[in-house]
Amino acid sequence: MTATDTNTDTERTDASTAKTTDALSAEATEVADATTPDASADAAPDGGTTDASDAADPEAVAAGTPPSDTSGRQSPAVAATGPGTDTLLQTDGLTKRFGGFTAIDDVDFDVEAGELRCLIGPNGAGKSTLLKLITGRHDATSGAIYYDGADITDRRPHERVDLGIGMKFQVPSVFDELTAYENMRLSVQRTHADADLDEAIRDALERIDLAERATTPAGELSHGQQGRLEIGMAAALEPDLLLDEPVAGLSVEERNEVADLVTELNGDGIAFIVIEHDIDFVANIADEVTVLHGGEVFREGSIEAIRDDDEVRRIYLGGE
Amino acid sequence: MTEQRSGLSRRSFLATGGAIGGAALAGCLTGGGGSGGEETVTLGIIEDRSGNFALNGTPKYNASMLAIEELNEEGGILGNEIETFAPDPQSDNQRYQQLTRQAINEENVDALWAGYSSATRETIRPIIDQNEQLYFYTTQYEGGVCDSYTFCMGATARQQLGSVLPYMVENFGSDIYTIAADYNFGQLSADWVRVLADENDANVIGEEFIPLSVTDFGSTINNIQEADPDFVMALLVGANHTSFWNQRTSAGLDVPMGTSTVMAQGYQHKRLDPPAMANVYGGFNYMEEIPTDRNQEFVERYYEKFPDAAYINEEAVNNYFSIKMYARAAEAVGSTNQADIIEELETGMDVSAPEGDISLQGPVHHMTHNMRVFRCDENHNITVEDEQLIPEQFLSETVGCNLRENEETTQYVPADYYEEADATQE
Amino acid sequence: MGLGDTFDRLRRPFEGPNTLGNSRAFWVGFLVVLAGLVGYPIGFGSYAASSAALYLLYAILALSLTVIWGYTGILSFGQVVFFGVAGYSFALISMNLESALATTLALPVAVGLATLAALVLGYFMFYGEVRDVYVTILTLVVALVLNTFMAQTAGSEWTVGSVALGGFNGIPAIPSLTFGVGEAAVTLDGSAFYWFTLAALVASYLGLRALVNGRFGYTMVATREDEDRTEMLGYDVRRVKLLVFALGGALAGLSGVLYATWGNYISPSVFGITFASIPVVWVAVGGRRSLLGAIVATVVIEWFRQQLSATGSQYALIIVGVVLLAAILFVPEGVVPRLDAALTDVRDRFATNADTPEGTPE
Repeated sequence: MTATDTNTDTERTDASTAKTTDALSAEATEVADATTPDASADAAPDGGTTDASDAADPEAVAAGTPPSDTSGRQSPAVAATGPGTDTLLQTDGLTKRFGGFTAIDDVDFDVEAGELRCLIGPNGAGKSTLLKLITGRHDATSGAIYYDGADITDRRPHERVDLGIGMKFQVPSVFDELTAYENMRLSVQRTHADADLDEAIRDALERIDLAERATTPAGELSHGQQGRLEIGMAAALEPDLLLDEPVAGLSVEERNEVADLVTELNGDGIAFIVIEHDIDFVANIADEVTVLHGGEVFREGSIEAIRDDDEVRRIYLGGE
Repeated sequence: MTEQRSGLSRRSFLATGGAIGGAALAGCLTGGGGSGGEETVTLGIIEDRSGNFALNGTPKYNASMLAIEELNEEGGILGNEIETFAPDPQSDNQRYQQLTRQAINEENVDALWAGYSSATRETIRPIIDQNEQLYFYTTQYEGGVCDSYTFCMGATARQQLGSVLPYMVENFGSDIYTIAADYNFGQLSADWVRVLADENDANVIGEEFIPLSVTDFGSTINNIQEADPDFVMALLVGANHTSFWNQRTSAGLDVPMGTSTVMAQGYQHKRLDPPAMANVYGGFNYMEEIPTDRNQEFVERYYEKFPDAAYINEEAVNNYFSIKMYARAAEAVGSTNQADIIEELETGMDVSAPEGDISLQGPVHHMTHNMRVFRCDENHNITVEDEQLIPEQFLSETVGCNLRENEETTQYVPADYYEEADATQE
Repeated sequence: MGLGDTFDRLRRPFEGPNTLGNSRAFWVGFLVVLAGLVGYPIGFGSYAASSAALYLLYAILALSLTVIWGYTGILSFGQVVFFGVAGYSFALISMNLESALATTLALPVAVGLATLAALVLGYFMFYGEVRDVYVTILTLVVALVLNTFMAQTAGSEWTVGSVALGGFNGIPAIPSLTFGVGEAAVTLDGSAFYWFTLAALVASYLGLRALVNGRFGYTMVATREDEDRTEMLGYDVRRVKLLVFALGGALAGLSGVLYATWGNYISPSVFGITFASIPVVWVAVGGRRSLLGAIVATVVIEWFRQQLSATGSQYALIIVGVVLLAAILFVPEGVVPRLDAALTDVRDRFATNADTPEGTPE
């Protein structure tokens, strides 16, 4: 997926969008066995490349249809998150521009506590950018983000983590040189005193089925194991909301393992926002689906509704 | 009665023998910091042979070795061969510290010659004083060191400037522009320029201090041209400052320049192509080109031992004669006991040096020098324009330093005694 | 067995995967070497001890760089800035106030000033989002600027109180380390100074061992490995770097005061490019992720340089340069970690050969 993201970057002008979304739609509608390991090349979590590659052609934005709010909720003028409401996270008119280019355009987006939301959309729709705005990796150009009763628009990333937002990156970025145990320690030591540390770390490793690999350097774990470790580390911080980018280069079995873990954690009450391209995967786990296109919310609804939506299919298959 | 008439009685024999033995034992134990009259005499020679001052330090090292060789050829000191501890401090003051400590504490040198720059001297002087080590500092310097253990063999700024500045004023006029190396020596020399200007009815119309690391003198040359003095006093030091001379010639700056630092130390007139040093007048106690027979013989002996040597600079000769002076003092005292030798030196001594007949002013530990005004012409030939014996005056006359009477380890500065020298009064 | 257990319990806080040497054998060896170092002045005399003290205080400077570079990923050429600031401050305070008490207090105050300088510089760099390479450049620039500035303070107008900064000459006759008030004060020279410096070095070493093996140590290592990832675990990475940098400044400052009182002298050359680069060389050769490596490399390299210059060899600097180049090219992780790995190999082979059950852990 990422390789084609990069292609988008270089082929950004005029009608080329059609060509790229063509290539993408093939992936999006099929089971994602087509993903190849080399796709992860420059999708580093902090890389600018991913952002630029998420960028959509301004003309495509014009071609898109206005967002239709299927859930019936109106964009609130005032924050309504946190205790007393069901809403955990809410963005209000969130906009991100890179120079002259608008990656996220006036997005009103909210997630309920404990929900499992899937975020889908063609390449360059702005999915990654939206997540980065929520975690604080990017500063919003305008608009606001509310989380659990607080305005977090100007908060630094680590402060948002403290408030309960976690992230699992597209490329497993565990600390390669440290063992699984030590990796987990970094998470666990934030919420546990020295006395219970060892036990808590071992418990956390048990939960993600890596207890026997405690002394293995994380760099030597398989991709799937690294993915689990990362989720486990994110979960050990006891977040209320986890943002998840799909892991490239996993086998079907590994992806199912990850899916199971996500479902299990969601069952424990952690809300998720998951970027996905695999429709079947989405169908299995998602409560609600948000379709992003050209930096705007295109559709929201259940997976069945989205799947049958002609407009959505069209944006995946290309323009008029 | 009967015992005495029979000559040496057992008791008196024992008594005398005991006395001699005791004295010998006492002599060994109180041998000061030195080897106290054992098989060898060790002299410490710590001179830069690499780094920024290599050019100045290497001749000092060479001349020291020549002096020691000549002494050894004639039986050494007190019949003992002279050995040396002669490391290379690499123009690094911190190395000087380490090596000085090593010389004193490990090598137990009987006397120490060390350091080119004033900065070095001041770095190690506390160590010298703390250990009461006999120390000869042989480079020309700013003057003012009144130290019980330090003998300053080089000409002071007052002596040097006192020889060249009046000559320049007389021949070129009274407006002076000073450029000096920005460190202790340069700053104090510039102060002396002001004192001497005042004594000779001249004016310092401008002053500039240039860090030792600078090699680009463009702005300095501009400033001089703007100021338009009658002559410049150029007190530049070290390898980096040598670039000034070619730069000023290229810029067409032909105002005559007086100096107390260049040529005699760094032999710029040999290293740079003519006419870089044209119209430069230096006040020194020595240059290799001194035409006397005595000097030319010395020069021959030097190049015989060091055929590849580049030049004999003025401090090299100061090393040379002071080592011989030390040897004479040791012979006079009959031991290498440092305190005794210092006392002996403080009675003064006449010295026959390559520059001429000079003398040690005992109470101030400085030399009366045979000063000359040397001129470098456009072909880099050196001629002697003026000559006179100039004693050290600042300590002996103005400050009143007397190390025979008082123990001291002070450096006095002209700013404390002369209004003209005080920069804060500008 | 009680003694063994106590020993094990005592050594636990100092052990962990972030440092070399986590066995009884190591600590026994450590104590033996320490005993030797303590006895050194008695065996070799006050002058030898005084010479050795210089290497020991340099080792503290090396440790300051190891903790910020090897453990937190901040390569600084500016440790000498804090070294020099503390040294000069000590000189100015003790020489202006001229009493035993003032000289006693000058030590902590000077170290405090160095720490403050590190906090200020660190704040501007890390909270100003200066990245990696630019931190290195910036720290070097600060050192060189200080060098240039201090070198031009030769004039008599450059005086703080009654003490002239001295320009290129520096400040000589700095008083020795003193503790106490008035007549009861104790001045440390020779062997006494050596023992004090040794104590400071050992305290620094053990303190850092405990730090890097504890939770903050893990945070430091994570910051070194991947700052963004670490931030996403909820750590304020800027604060981590600032705190570590301040610690590095404090250690470098301590080393600077010891230096000033060792030679009773300080000059602008401590801010110069040669001296600014030397700690990087010590730490790179010794193994930048190893506290022990830093100490060993510093002592060996400095001893070697001193020997070379004492023999008057013209090739001293070249030889040192070649040795350093070779070490960095062929042993990039550092000499001490390489030795440790080799020893572990030997021991493992020994263990498996000796018919013990597989995988005997440390």
